[in-house]
Amino acid sequence: MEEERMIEMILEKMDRMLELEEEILEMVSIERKELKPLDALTLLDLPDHLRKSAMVMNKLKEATAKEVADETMRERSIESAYLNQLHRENYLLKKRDGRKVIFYFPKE
Amino acid sequence: MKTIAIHSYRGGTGKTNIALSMAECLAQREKQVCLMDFDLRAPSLGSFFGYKPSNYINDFLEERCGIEDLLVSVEEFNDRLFVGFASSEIRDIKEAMKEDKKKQMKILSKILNGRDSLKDNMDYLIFDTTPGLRYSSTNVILSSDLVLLVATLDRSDLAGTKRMIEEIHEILDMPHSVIINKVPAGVSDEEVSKEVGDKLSQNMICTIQCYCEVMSLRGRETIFHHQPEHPFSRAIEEIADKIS
Ligand SMILES: Nc1ncnc2c1ncn2[C@@H]1O[C@H](COP(=O)(O)OP(=O)(O)OP(=O)(O)O)[C@@H](O)[C@H]1O
Ligand SMILES: [Mg+2]
Repeated sequence: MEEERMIEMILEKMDRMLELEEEILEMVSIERKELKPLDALTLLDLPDHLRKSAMVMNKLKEATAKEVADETMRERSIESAYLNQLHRENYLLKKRDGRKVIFYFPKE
Repeated sequence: MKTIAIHSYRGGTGKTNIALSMAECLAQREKQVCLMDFDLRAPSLGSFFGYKPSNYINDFLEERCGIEDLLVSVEEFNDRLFVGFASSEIRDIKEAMKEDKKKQMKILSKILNGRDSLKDNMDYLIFDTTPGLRYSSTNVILSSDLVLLVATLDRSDLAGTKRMIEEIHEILDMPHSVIINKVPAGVSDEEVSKEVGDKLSQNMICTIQCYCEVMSLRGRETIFHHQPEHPFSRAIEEIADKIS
């Protein structure tokens, strides 16, 4: 039990480090790429693990990794990695709200 | 709630007929059933029921109404069978079939949320679909728990159905079953299995013969409702047993 908590903590810290790295990369990158749509035919081409997260995001529109994980029944830290991958590949936007990281699609 | 998409590779294989009969069959078994005409390219339930609703699926997808506003209760079934109709106005068809990715992404999200909001009140949600690989069918397949593929013994139909299974359902890990419809009289199930090949026969849950009566019935009644003892109706019962 104690070990699991430690691992969860370490994973969270690693997440945070990766996020910081991305935030920095984003700040320095000059061109901002346009978001790619996650329509049905695009979803069909995504790898299985990413598609599950993408489908839930399509439903929720705006969610934390925890909220997506509750629907995909996966670990929050794993879900967070997948959502970050979707974000890196320009399918999702990401913002910070206090301690929470929120993934979302832009409103029209 | 179980969500079932009735789909096919080729057109005219019998999807609408089977979707409608299945919906009637499950409603007769005291289930709450919602049947949605998601053949947005060529809607047909409206003319079958001779009904002109005030809201269409198209209005829901374009955010002009809620999902509950478009469901019509079919009188003979005492609030057990509800139907959602699609608009057959050319303008609406063009709009719904637009191959715009952003638009189709919005539509997929509407379908996923609409499905979830029916969860508590329905036992079955049945989608009739557009044949082949179109947005109006893939959106619905992605929102379903089970896909029933209706094929005929036509060679290109069988080949296309097999390809769809390999390239869509297996990749999505989507439960799917095959119905071989319009089998000529006198062809046995074994012969059908041989004809359709291993992949399809492994997934085959029913074969239905070709009956002139099914074709010639016009207007408001399915053969299922009209002649419950007809072999076509018994085949529908068999499918309903297997999927429930
Ligand atoms: N088992 C059968 N025996 C004889 N006729 C059949 C059978 N099943 C369906 N049909 C007939 O085939 C025609 C096409 O059926 P239906 O409209 O259900 O197909 P569909 O797959 O929905 O077509 P579409 O792809 O155009 O929507 C109809 O005239 C229907 O009555
Ligand atoms: Mg049809």
